[in-house]
Amino acid sequence: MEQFAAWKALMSAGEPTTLWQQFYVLFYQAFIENDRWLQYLNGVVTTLYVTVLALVLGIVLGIIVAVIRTAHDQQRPGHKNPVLGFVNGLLKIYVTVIRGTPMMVQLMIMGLVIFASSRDFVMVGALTLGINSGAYTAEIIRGGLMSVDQGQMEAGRSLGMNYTDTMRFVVVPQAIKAILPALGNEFIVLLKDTSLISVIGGKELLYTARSVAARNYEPMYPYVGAAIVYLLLVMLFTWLLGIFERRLRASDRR
Amino acid sequence: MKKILAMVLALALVLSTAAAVAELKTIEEGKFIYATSPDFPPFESTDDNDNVIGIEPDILAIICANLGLTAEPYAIDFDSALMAPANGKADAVVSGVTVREDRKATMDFTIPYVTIVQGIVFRTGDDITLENLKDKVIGVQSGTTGQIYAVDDFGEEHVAAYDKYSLAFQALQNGQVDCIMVDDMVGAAYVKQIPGLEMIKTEYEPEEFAFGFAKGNTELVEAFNAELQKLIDDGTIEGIILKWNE
Repeated sequence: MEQFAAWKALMSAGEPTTLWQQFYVLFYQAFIENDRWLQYLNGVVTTLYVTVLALVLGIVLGIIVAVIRTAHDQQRPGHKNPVLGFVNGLLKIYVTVIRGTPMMVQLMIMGLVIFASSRDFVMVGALTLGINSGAYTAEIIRGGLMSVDQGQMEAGRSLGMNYTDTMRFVVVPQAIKAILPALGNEFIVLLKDTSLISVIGGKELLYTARSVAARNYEPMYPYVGAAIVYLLLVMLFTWLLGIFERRLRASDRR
Repeated sequence: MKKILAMVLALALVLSTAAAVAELKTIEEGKFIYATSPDFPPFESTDDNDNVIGIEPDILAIICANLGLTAEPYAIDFDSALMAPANGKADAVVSGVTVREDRKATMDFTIPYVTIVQGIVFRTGDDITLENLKDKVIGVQSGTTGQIYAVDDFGEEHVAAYDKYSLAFQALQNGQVDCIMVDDMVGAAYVKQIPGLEMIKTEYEPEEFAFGFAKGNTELVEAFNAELQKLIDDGTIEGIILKWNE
């Protein structure tokens, strides 16, 4: 602490300092002074909280949309269900609008127009990210479901299983394995996109880094620090996903 | 003989202009690039053609004309604008920058040319006083003295920092924050533009605005100081401020 004050005084007076002294001062003021690491910790907790909420919402939305759209697309010719057709149309609009507009614009609209009176910026952010992620996840899952050979469904049905059971026990397990890498991609993008919610006032990791940078007028340490934390989180995520993938593959070859 | 004389004269002319430019070192020769966050009327805002206009661009136009430079704005969020000179992205930050001791570590300031105090802007009819601010959510722009005061006095959980003051005022109109802490002259400009808002002044120490230059470019700072002093003495700056506050 005293050393920090002394060296900082040296630096701001423009006296010659060693690289180590500069590193020590800039690092100290970016992470340790006034317990700033606690702020970063809060930021990381918010980032993870938003990611998990958005992830769950995105998966739920994605599954619903994908299942309905697949059911619509795989109807027998000449037996189109009009209700299904209508819902399918609505879902297509949802996917088109969400995929066709930038995340940032969606955040601005949700934060400042649709939820204009909400003060829970983090929640609004999580909701926006979840809805956004849902559209992409839906297309990934739909791709997986469509990729399973029609013969699998026919085989299931001919054995006397109904549509839901065939989906659940035959098609979905095969689809999940096929889409895991693509889903992992989407989750990683989602985790990193949480940094956008700082524009509507959500206090996540990047918000903290910005505040600290603005306090010290020194951008490098807070931003590189935040980048490292994001990288670590993504690496952790990738590792967990890898384990999951391996376990799903366990019965592939015996 | 005439030819030689002409050549000598031409050479002298070239040399003298070269010398004048060499005296004032800027990032791009002949240009004065200033970092600014143009959401800060009347000091700087943008017109419909995205030109930066306001008190500070007007002052800069006069000074730069006298120094043989062309002023060129580099519009960016305020917190990044503050770091632009130190990073070599701009010759100076000219964005209603308060002279603060901690900022002197990263930049050299000119002489101050205007004094302001912090104000609190809120929706007319809301119960906002200087005493009950500790129970409210205060909107600010990231990196401003408003943010520093609000966070220090009321805690991080009572502050919402936005990229731009325009966004913060949008949040105030939406009711997402209870009030905005902002320099009084700027608050007054927003109050004039947005119906249903009013402002009270805080009791924080008055703050002085100056231009912040990258450390070490003493010639440029001194040239600006001399010009600023002239404009302060002959009342030009006061006139510009009055004009933009009308």
